[in-house]
Amino acid sequence: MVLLAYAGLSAIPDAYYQAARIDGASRWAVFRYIQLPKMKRVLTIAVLLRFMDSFMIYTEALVLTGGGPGNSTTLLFDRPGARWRVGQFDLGPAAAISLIYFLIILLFCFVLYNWMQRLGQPPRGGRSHERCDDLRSALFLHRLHRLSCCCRSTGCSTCRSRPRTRSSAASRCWPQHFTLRQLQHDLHRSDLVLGLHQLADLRVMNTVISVTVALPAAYAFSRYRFLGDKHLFFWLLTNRMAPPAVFALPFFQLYSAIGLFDTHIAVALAHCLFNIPLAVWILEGFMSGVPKELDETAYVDGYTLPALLPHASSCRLIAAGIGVAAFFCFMFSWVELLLAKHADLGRRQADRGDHDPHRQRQRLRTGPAGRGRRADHHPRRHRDLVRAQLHRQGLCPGEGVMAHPQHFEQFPGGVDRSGT
Amino acid sequence: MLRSNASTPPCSASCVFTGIVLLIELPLGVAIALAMPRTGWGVSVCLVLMALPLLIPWNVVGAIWNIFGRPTSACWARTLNALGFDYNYTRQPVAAWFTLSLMDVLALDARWWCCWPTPA
Repeated sequence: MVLLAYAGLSAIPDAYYQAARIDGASRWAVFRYIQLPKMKRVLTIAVLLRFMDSFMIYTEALVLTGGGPGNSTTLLFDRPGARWRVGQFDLGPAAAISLIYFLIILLFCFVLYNWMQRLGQPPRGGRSHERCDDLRSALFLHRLHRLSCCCRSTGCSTCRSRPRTRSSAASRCWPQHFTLRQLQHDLHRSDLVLGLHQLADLRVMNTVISVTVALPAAYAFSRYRFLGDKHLFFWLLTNRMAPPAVFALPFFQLYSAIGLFDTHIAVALAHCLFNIPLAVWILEGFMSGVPKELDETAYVDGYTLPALLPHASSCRLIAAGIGVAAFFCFMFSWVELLLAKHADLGRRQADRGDHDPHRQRQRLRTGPAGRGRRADHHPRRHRDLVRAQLHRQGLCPGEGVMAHPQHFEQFPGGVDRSGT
Repeated sequence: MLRSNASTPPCSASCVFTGIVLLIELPLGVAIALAMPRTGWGVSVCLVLMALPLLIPWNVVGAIWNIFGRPTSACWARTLNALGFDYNYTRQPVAAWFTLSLMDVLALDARWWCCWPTPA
């Protein structure tokens, strides 16, 4: 909120302050009649986005208080059993909770968005440079703020620990015997290095896809007016409203059906779900700040639309925006865990207990196709795990969308029932 | 799920938590932004200091406050207890809500000064 407000303040032209100084306005009057009105749009966006964030928070409360004392600080997603259901692939109730989240946030955001429209100040600008600057700054800094939010629905081992009422013997918070041994040990772990390599690999792929797709979309939103453009633009936000848990099962089914499960591209595509809207919103803000006249000049010079984007001056002018969008796509993808966990590569090694660096490197290079007969090993294990959980819940076979075996027979290599 | 009685209190808690956070953060954020420098090297320093904590995942934030918020080790918690408030976020719902709100509002910025541990 501080950064958003600061961005809003920075976007106010000095001419307003000079005029206020000439008029002898007091500091309160400057705030009341200049700064606050000029910040209104940014603050509205900030409230909207902060509402999304804070309403979906449960991790920090869970880690700090464990929902206690009693159930006094149990938030919606921390509802007893909810996170257990997510962890146990009981995705029906988990998805229902996520949809409740989504509907509440959607309702609030819809009201707020319409209120913003009624102010006569479209939230995605495009008509004045000031407005663009406000929104661009707000969105830029909001993305920074969102960096810390992606782990909210992922859970962690510490989430299960309840706070201790008595402190440990060493209530001091600095180490008594300082050593770097653990750090050295971690840095020499081959699985850690491999994991970081995989992380970077996937995230770069996701970043490239997201920016490539978002750039023409942002250009279209900033330059053209068409039926439902505002609604479509707002709809992009809805991808960020629902917790990732709600998308886990659809992704699982989709990847199972088209044979993308347990591949690099699967994780990269899953992260595109929230990174492409993010990139579109960032790039649209920057793109709207570029005058249309530049594009028209490029058209006169003979540029066509496909050639305009990579070569025209508008693209060069938003180079900083492209860099920012790429950075945030990379970072959001870097910290996201839940969707990656469901279509992950790293768990394969952990499940197998296979930590041989040479084999891991070879597997990384060759991918699933290079694993020959065992190409379907992890998908089957993961798939069977889900099936077993669903079976225990009475959903399989015969009930639910996951009950049909043909969904699982479409994996490359088929189902190896012998277990080899 | 909607008919379940167990869903109503957590939903209310989420709404209350969001309301508290927004009510505190909006004026506080504007006030801090107004106090931040506009020119010079202080701008970069302030922006970096304000942005850095956001890079830390919130489950880590919760773990940090879980340790530094303990009444036996945190300076501010000990101060509250010394002033006569029975502060213990593991036992008092009000204290738990206070700690939750404080943690969310301050994120990580203030842990260096308000949660500075004191030797037992």
